[in-house]
Amino acid sequence: MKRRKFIILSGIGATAFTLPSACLKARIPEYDPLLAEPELLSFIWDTETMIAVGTLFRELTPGERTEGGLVSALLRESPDGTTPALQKVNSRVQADYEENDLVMLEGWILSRTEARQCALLSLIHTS
Amino acid sequence: MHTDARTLENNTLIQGDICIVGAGAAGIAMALDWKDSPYKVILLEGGGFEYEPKIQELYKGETTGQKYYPLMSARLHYFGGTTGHWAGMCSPFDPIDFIDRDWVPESGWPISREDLDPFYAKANETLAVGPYQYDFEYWKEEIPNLNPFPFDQKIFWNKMWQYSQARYNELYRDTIIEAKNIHLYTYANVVDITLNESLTAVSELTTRNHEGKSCRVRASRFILACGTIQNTRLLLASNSQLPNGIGNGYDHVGRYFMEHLEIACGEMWLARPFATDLYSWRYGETITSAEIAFTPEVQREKRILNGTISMMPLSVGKHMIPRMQTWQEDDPRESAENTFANWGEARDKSEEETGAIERAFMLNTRIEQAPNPNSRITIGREKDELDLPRANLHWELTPLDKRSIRTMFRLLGREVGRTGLGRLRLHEFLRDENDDTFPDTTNAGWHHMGTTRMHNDPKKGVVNSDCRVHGIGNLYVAGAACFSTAGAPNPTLTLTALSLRLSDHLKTVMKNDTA
Repeated sequence: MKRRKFIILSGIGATAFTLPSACLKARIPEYDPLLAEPELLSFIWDTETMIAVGTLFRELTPGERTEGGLVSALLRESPDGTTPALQKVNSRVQADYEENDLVMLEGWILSRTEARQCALLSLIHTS
Repeated sequence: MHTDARTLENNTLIQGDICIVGAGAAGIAMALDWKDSPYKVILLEGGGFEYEPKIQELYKGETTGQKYYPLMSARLHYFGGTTGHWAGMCSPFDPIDFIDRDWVPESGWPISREDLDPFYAKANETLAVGPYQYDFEYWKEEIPNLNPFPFDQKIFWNKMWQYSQARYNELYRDTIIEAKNIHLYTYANVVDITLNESLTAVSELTTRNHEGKSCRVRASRFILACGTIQNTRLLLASNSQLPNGIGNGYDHVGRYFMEHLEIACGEMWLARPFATDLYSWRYGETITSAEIAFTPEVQREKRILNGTISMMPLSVGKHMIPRMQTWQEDDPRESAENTFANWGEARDKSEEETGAIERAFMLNTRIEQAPNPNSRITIGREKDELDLPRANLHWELTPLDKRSIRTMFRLLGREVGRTGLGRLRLHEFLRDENDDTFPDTTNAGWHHMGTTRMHNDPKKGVVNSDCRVHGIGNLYVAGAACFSTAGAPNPTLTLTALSLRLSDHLKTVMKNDTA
């Protein structure tokens, strides 16, 4: 899908999760909605594919089914606060390939981090 | 010289110095190598100069096991052999293909790549391709825009190909006919090999044709060069003196049939446009191109077979039907027509594809099949019109074949991601690590190899390193049947080189005979 279109859709998603996010403020860290946008995948997939792959990841990964769990996992790598979270996540995607921390979903060989991003996106759209 | 054997008297005796059985890629390359020599060369071809259904029908046989093409349609039976419709893909085997690999059962040739190098160079000339240069660095200097993917060179390399358009029927027919010391006999199907009393040498061959006429052929040396399946069939069917057939004292003749697996295995989606000229091929236009290959080090580390990955636009590839489905008619012309029609449809449909798919590629593997004694040619009870038992094929693949392909694609998938080029998707049949099976859509390359495998120990092979049948002093096999392992590249360049090496050996032998 086109990146611009995806960002718009992500924005809608962000609105959608504002309410539950507010209600569960104590358990879900604040995050940039773009965290749910795997950058490279947005050049080759449409939103529906990302959501489908993200949904599958959640089904197959019991410990990573909640928004809070996914956001925490995605932000785990940026505790220092000096590097923007999104940049950290993109670096993490690259590092996953270097370290072979990969998952296969619907045959796609993906970084675990970008799979989590898809999962987060699927949650946003579900809610 | 040329004689149509149908015009000869029945039971005519033909005599010469060397007799080559089969005028295909191997036989013609050898015959040409003896042109203008002091020796009389007899070249026997079962067919004529054109396709004829009743000649082609002699190749008919049953197949079992992994789904395969009809045997009748898998080779061409007339002067020039399967060069009559081959795609012309040439690339040498790699040094690792010749060595004993402890992770590949029955691997290892009794010769090395270095032994073949001089003959590879000569084979390039016979096949009318460019120089014996298959290094990426060489071609990068020759041709602009050969832009390699930025992959880790410890794992990947670019295996180069050259493309022949040689159709031997057109290219060499006149040369062979006009050669004074080469006598081509058409419609001379060899149906029996007779040994001497001590069963240590061939005394004569018997040919037959549909007109019911036979000939006897005597020579000092005999070379079977009529294709892997037919060479094997002839050895097995010549069983009047040796019940198991000739050269089959240890039950190896026909075993270790190998093919190249050529399968669409995945998709590569690029995030951004990338100039892929290096990896593209158009028939009749491309001089050289590359496939993504795997270094010996990673093959050793991962314990996988040797193979490569090629690519084509996904917009075309997604509409293509596997050849194993479109090439199922006995008549090779009909099978070809079905296949080409599908390719045409696929190209037409691809024009409607837009979006990210324009940067996506279908990935096809090309990989050696692991030597497997249960993958074999046998002869059946049914006989052809010339009273020769038909050859049957039981094609059997192994878990190593499947694991190797899966590993290759996982390595590439990781690298495509690591370099930020894009993402790779495996086809469904590769996803389950516990699944060793291959679907019926698994394509083979029409490359028949291995059934008279080369080994210097008669207990482990049919021919020795000179391609001579163990135990038979004057009988040789030319062609891919001698391959101990299959390598990844199409076999014609290598089988030509091996045949020229055999030719060179025979020249020494014949010279010593004279001396």
